[in-house]
Amino acid sequence: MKKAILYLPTLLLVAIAVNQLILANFFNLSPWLGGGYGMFSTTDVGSNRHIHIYAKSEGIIKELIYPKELSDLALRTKSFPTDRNLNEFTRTIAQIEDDRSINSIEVQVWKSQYKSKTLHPSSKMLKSVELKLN
Amino acid sequence: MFENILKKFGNIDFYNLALRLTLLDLILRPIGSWEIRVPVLITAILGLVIPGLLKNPAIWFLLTGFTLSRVIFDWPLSDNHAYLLFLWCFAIFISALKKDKILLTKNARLMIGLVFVFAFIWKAFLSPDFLDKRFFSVNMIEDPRFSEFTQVTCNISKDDLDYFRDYVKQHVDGNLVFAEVINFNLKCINKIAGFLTYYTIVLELLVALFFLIPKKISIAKYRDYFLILFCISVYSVATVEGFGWLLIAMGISQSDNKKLPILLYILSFFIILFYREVPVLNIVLEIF
Repeated sequence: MKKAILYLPTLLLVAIAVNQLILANFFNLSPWLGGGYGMFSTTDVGSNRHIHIYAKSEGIIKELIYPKELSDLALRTKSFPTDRNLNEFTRTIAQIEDDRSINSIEVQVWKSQYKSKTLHPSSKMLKSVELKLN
Repeated sequence: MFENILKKFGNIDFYNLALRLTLLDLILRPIGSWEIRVPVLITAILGLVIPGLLKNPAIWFLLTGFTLSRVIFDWPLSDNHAYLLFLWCFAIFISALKKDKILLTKNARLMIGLVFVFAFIWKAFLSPDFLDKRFFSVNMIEDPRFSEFTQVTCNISKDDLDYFRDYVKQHVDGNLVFAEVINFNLKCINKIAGFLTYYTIVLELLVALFFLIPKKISIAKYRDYFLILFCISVYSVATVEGFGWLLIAMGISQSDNKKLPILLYILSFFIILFYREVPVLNIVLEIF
């Protein structure tokens, strides 16, 4: 046990990296983050992902743009789109949008993909959350 | 003359040098938001400048705490460097507390080997777009850090590169169902991307293997050269100098005081500084 403590930095490195492998492969954490050494291995960088926000009223769907003040929160949400992060982001958007006609707000996180030889881009939705307001 | 220079490097205390270069890394490449940056800089400068503080466990306890705080407060946005820096400061703290240089040597060798194992696993097995060259092809177009490299190696103008970048950065969802197609020649980019792909993955595998095989196997003594080659070549293009310097400091600490590797590690440290401060590719573009 005493010897294990002396090698704790190395053991922690492995634990953090394995944790990152799990989060990236099962919970959509960007492989560039989390201490698993996935940087420069994939195009799926957090900043390459994008968010769509839709405000839904009776018969109307309007796309919203998040304000600059939420850039940091948006980056965290895109990079690690868990239910908790998405719900927090959606609730924050709902608080900013002062429009009583909005019935719900949907937030979607998408990642970009590229075709092999042509690099032709396409997108894939990773996760979405809809928050009912009324 | 070379022998005389090498003899002088034999007298260097590799442990002290590794600690100094770690502090220099923290000073030259400050980390975190200002709440972390200020105390880290002050602590690193004190450790470097004041006699007797370099190996003081208190300095490394503070740096471990600050670097850990950065990882926690920035979660999940910290990159690999942030985690490795925290773990390295922690390893130095333990070795300083126990006054055991060999402990740091052992941790360093294992940590370097494992970092490259995980990097290899991601590239070889987990990433769907690395081995088919898509990652480097897209990166050469999209990542501004690769901009001059792409322009020089493929003789593409900045305007053309900006045009290609707009193409790959299209968000093909929502209102845009199909990507706008443009015609451009990817042959050169694909070729260079292919070279970078296989060079990187082979070199990372070699670093991982050579650092993790037991030292009693004779070829293990060549491990430093692969790490030095990685630092000099990769960080000439991917300008993440903080990570390069950190790997060099870790490399020196486990180099068993071998003169030539230590000389090459020190040179590599300054070559990476040169890459950061002298925009060589920009100069080439201006001349040609």
